[in-house]
Amino acid sequence: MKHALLVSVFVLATCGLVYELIAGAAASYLLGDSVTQFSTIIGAYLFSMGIGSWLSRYVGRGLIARFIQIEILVGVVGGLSSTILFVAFGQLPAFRLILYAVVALIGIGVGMEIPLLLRILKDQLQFKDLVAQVLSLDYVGALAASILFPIWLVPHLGLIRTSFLFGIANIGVALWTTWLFREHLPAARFFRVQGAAALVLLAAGFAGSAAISDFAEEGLYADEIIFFRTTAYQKIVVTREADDVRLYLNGHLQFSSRDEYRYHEALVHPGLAAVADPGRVLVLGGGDGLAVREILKDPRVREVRLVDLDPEMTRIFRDHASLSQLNGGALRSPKLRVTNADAFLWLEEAGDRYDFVVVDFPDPTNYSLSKLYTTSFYRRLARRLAEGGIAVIQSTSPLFARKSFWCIAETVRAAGLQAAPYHVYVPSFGEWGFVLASREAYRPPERFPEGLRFVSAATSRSFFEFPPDMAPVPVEANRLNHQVLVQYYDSEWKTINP
Amino acid sequence: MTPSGRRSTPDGGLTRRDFLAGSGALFLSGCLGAKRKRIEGEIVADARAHGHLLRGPLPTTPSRTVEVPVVVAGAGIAGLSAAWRLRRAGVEDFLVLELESSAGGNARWGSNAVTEFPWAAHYVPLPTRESVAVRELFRELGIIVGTDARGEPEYEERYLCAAPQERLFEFGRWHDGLYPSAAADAEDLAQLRRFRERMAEFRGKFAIPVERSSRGLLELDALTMRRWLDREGFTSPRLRWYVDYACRDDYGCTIDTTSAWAGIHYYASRPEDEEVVTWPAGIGWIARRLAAPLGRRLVTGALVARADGEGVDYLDTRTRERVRVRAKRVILALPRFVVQRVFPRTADGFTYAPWVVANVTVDRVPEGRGAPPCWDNVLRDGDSLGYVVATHQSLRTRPGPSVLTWYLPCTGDPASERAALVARPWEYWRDRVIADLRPAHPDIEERASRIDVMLLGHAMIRPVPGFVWGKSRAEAAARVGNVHFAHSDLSGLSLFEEAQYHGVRAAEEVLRAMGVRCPSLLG
Repeated sequence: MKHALLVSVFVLATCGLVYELIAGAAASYLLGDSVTQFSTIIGAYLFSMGIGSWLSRYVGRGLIARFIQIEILVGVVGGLSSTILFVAFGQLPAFRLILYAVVALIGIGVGMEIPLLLRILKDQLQFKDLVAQVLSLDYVGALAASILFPIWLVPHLGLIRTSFLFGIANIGVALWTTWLFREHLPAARFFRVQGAAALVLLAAGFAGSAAISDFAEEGLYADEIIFFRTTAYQKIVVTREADDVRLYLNGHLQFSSRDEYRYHEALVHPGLAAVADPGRVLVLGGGDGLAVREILKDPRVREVRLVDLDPEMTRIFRDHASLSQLNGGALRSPKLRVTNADAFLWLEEAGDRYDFVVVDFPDPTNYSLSKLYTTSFYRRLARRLAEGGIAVIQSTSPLFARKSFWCIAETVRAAGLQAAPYHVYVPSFGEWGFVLASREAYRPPERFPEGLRFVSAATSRSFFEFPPDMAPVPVEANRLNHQVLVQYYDSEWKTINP
Repeated sequence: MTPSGRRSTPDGGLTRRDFLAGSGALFLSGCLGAKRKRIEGEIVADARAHGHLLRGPLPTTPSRTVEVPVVVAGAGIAGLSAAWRLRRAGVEDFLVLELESSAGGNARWGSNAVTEFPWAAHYVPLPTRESVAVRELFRELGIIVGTDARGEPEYEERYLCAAPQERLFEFGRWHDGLYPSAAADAEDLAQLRRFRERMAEFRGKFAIPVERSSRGLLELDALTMRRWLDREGFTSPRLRWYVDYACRDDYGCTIDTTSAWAGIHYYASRPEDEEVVTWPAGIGWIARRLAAPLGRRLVTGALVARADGEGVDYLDTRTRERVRVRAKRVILALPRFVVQRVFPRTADGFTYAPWVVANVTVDRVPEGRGAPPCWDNVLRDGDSLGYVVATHQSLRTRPGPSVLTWYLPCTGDPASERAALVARPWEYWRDRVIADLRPAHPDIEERASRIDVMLLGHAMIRPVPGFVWGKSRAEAAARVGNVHFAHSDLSGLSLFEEAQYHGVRAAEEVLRAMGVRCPSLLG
């Protein structure tokens, strides 16, 4: 029995340290700044163990029963810990509170273990041997955990399954103890039922960890996920809440079906309707097909070329029933040709000219994307504009990112084109801006296609008026070798979304 | 609804893999060996193998003779520039001999399935007004595309080094720029400011080409850069690192071995907000364009064995045949330590810094914490200069595979450094590169699939005190009868512009001697 209990010390020490590492690792993963996370988690955990050790003095009679209960509690909380943390991060506001509550709870439990075990074993060993053996095994167990965790557990099992596995080991110790002390334990059966229930819970968790990962992921989105795919380029998530379908790329909202018509009508029609004979149209980006849907409303358009990086994106918006419904089956139009390529490289190569070009790229959040907003890019774009052709560029928000917006207009001018900036209100995004680029000065059209819900000849004139809070500011053009746009964008959105 | 930065980062959040890699450093740095994946690579053969031919038994008499008016030995930038200058003057009848299998010399480059990459020099700063011939070449190659309102050249944007250009790894994260500004105190910054002011005062007196510099400050060539910094009260360790870095980067020397004149030249010969042009192949891009029109006039695998006023003997390294090139004019566009062997002249004072260059093929450019990946990624700790990203100029928007060119100048005693280079196996260099990059990129071993290494025994002429403005350098450039000399070591600074200057100068000497009338391109 003595040896059996010493083996338990080893197992418990391993479990205890693994929980601590899980909390530290999950916090680093979710919150970043691993040094801070690990320091505070270790500190909080050790402090809680201190509380646990101190609390152990209040355990009087029923030492073994308390010990078993604590093992079951620690096993359940520890086993569920990473699931709790991942889900809480997505679903609940007070993530840090929950993080430290979990750490404290496990720490207190683990802190009680060794004092209780020492007391259980005190009659079987001399004090000096008792302390020496129990504590040395405790430390060796910690070493085992700290080596296993990074080398084998995290790479092969991941955090969620690791915590379930060690929760199970913890419960195992509890059940084993009920067997070891079966003669001194009147309610052994009761504990075994408890332990078995906990075991079933954790084993189910272990088996269902993939579903848990998905659920935790889902927590990062507000609504039900109806489509989820990780492609070579991005993570595509489509959610639905009642009649509102939303597309997220890498967690960033691309559109909401409630108001995307405002965005896409405003993106396409002011430019397209102003072109005398827009037979050939090019769309760069915009693999969701919503801009193509708008373009096809103009009967003068004979052919549309869509260039989007991600083949998965254009494929699902063509084939997935509820997604192709959003673009009215635009990606199946016989007028459309889809090319999956990096837009800048593509623009550099092929030679066709287009009457109207839609440039609908993600915002210039980093240097790679900001290349698509440089004088070099617009010069190449200009070469692809047919005579009398117009290009429209999605240009982020003139209200939230005023310098960025005017920088894009300035860059178009620096590339030798005329720029006509305008803006509209899209509830999901707020004030949103576009820049028309053309060789001749832009003249607003008198007529628009039938069936538009937002853009009309009368309202479109107001798009080009900028109130003082969005009025032009002095900015530099964005060039490949001086990408000022990234800096403007970074500083502006940071103040809104710190 | 609050705005959410629509359509933001395609780089997304941390993946579990990133997480493992990042926080892994905290507790598993020692355990990485356990899951080390196999990294391939080799020490890429260089001229050493051929050079040793010279020591073996050789045919001593030519088995055939060819005749040309001009022969150029060496197809580095100096030799290629000499050929370029001859062709511009309408002289098309010449031969260029090159030991390697392709032209380039210190502008040599390589390529693999991912990209081209440099094996040595990788950029040229925008030429100043004094670099007349460089500007002329750049116009011809479409690097300069026009002239702006102030009369300054306009450059093709694609060739200008794209943003972001430089970052420095220090205190566990990457910072913008090369000056170690993190944790710099007021005194550090005051000294940096004062240093920049001093350099601004020197501007105009230091020029590229060196030949065009004012002769009024030559006493600076007697000091080491460290002595000069001491004398001027520049004690800030951050500033000293920054200056030392510049010396290692451009000269393969430290502030203890660089002459103060050369150290200051680095800063004072160019504007403070210097820009550069660069390509995936480094300046191999230029070398290739200079070599292309030569066609069969470029003879590769040709080891020059002997030169005299009537021509050059070379050994064909493939057939081991000895060929006599009889010529009226000879341009030895070779480094002095080679000239010394083939055309017995003294090479006193000419010392060369060895370099190690490693090209690391990665499945994507490693990010690291802090500032985003730049063209030039420098590590504050260690002897290497960090690495340059070969795909930096790519217009592609998504992350993809790349090649990182890692540079190590060997700044110690050249002879012992060289001996140490040769003694070490590839595995040593692989581990050295990994160990150097791992603090900044804990995932480097996972990213890397190949590490190819080139050992450059005589990579750069060392501008040690007294050399740049000493007698032996000046004498070495002077022609001897019909034999002319061209190499950047004749300037004492291993720069593209200097190599080109001497190539053009030697070619113009030849043109004058041949009676071809043409205005000088040297301004």
